[in-house]
Amino acid sequence: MLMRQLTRWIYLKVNLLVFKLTELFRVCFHVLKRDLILSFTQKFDWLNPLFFLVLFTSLIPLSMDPSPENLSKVAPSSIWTAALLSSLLSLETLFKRDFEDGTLEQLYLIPYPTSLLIFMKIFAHWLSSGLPITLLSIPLALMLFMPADGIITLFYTLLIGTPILSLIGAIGAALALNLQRGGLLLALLLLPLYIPVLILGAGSVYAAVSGLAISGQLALLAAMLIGCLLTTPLMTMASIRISLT
Amino acid sequence: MITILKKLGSPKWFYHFSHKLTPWIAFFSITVLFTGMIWGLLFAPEDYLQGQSFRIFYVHVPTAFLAQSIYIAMAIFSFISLVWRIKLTEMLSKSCATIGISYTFIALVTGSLWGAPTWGTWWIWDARLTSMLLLFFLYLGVIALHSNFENRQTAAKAAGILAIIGVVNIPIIKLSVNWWNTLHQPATLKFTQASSITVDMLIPFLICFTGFSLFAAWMIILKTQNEILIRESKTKWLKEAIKNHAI
Amino acid sequence: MDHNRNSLSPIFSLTGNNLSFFRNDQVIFRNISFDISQEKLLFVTGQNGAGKTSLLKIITGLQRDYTGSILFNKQPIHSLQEAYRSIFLYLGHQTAITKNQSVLENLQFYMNLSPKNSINAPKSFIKTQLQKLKLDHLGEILCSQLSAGQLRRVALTRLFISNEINQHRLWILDEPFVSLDHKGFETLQNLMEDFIKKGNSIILTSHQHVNVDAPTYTLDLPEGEFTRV
Repeated sequence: MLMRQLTRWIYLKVNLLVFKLTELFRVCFHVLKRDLILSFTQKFDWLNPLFFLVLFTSLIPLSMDPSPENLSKVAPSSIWTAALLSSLLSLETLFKRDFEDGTLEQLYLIPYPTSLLIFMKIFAHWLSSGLPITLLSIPLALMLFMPADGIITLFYTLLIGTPILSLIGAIGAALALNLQRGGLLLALLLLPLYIPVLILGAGSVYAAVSGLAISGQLALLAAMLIGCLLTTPLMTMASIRISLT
Repeated sequence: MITILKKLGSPKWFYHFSHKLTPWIAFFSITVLFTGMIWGLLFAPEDYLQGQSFRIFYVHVPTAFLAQSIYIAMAIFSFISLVWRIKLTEMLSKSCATIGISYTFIALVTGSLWGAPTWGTWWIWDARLTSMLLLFFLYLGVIALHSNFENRQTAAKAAGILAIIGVVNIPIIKLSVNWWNTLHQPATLKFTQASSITVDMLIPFLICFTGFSLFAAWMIILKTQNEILIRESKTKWLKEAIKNHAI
Repeated sequence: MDHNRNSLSPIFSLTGNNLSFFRNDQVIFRNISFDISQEKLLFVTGQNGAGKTSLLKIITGLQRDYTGSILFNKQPIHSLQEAYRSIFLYLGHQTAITKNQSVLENLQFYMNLSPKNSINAPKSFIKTQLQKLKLDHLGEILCSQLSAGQLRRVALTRLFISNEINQHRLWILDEPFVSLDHKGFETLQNLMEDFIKKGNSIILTSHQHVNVDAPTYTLDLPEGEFTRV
């Protein structure tokens, strides 16, 4: 008898939990879907940073002696810097429009964990900016004569690094929402915070090219990514609240 | 706990308390700093490796160390004001930013001056100098946020969040800068080997350090009082205090 | 539609105690108190800059820089979080309508974000609701092509949807009548009456005089006189 009650109780609890989780999943999915559709219809939102990336990397050979050995020397630093800057440029569109028309306020008041919804927005933003930047960097690295070892490492470091840039950048983007000339200030706020990612990312590519071990640096980057995943959505939420009031 | 914090966090209490404190702290910081400077720059023995140029150590090391400590203090103040919504710590944190960036600047300039005779160049991408430069950039971001908002309260909150992220970032920056430095070891420039510090160097150093600390505290208190005068200008207690010449 | 749900659901009360709000270190209002339960209309009045919008934002939990307390069913709203946010709908100055999406897409998004409901065909359901403010011909139009009045009516359609599916117990409306014509004004008043009759409440700011057949209270800022009309 007691056993039956207990199983029934557990059954109900599990059912409730499953229901809550599916609800949460459904809402997250809709936020993600909306943001992806919006950035897809606003083509220049995600194309502009990519054009910038291509243009910036083309400036490098034009401003120096473009022999393969020279270019391959500066390739890791140029591509990482270009990726970092184009990721920074893409941040302005992250919350701005939703903030201006009041949607962000409504999202904040939805009866689901706000930080999770914000995380979905950042994730959608990374899918439409960080991921294409990572993929486009490979042909650009080939144009700068980066050796194969370097290209593989470049891909891995960008794949771990660009989400960190998006997550940290989201805080800055949220803080700068109320400001007229937010773009320049955003760079001022975020570039110092981006420096460890740049050092570890570009440094790993250099190390890989010169045949040194890089697993430690990749592990450190991964640890940073996990730390950012856990903390930055909450801080972004707090920053959005500051901008909303 | 929170009620004690709230009481200590009232600008009125701080204003009256610091008002009594400032003459003392002003007197001590000037005397100690003066003694330390005279001792360090004139009477302390010269370094057997670096000679007279070593004396800049008495300015460089205390300011560099305090620049970092003030950043941490700023982040702690910001944290308190964000969590418990205390106004005074907002103002303290803002004052820390201004004083901190000045110390960082002094440390950078003296570091570069020290580099000229010892490394033979004004600037070198050495791990410690680079970290200091990055600290300067971190301070710059906080100050930029403070000055870009019209509403002082919003500004303090935004800058507070940035300060907290920055303080988490400092050890990561150090770690990555150190690794970066070992990865690209500049071959042409040899670093001077570490000089050993004797007791007659240590005593003036400690005096200088105390002097710089007191001076920073004095400046932070003055800056905070200034901030209180601006932000509380409409309150009754401040108007009365001004009327009674308690300023 | 199940109109009896709310009459069975528990009584609710929302209390604000000694609320004070400062902006730029200046007092906007001080020691405001109010108390509403179900089937009430709370009309927040006051000059421009008296802090009406701020008070509404405080009630929603968006603005946290205030002293005093707001209790929902005797519990502070910040301890309730999502449980509190699920009972009210807030419409602010901005329409919260995304310009680059169609009217239907916008409303469907907000329906998707609310807890699961019994509507099987959301599209035709939304279209029916759009009719009530004469918007049914605009369903597939991009919102960037709408006028200010039309945008406002799209935003207000969310209220009709909320009323139909009995989703909220409280509406918090900041100047909902702005850029509405006379007909729209009447329709909205009737809707509000219907919503309150079901056992719900509304907190509202407006420059226009609202005539709703329901127990009405006013809260005059910045003095904070809380009176039954």
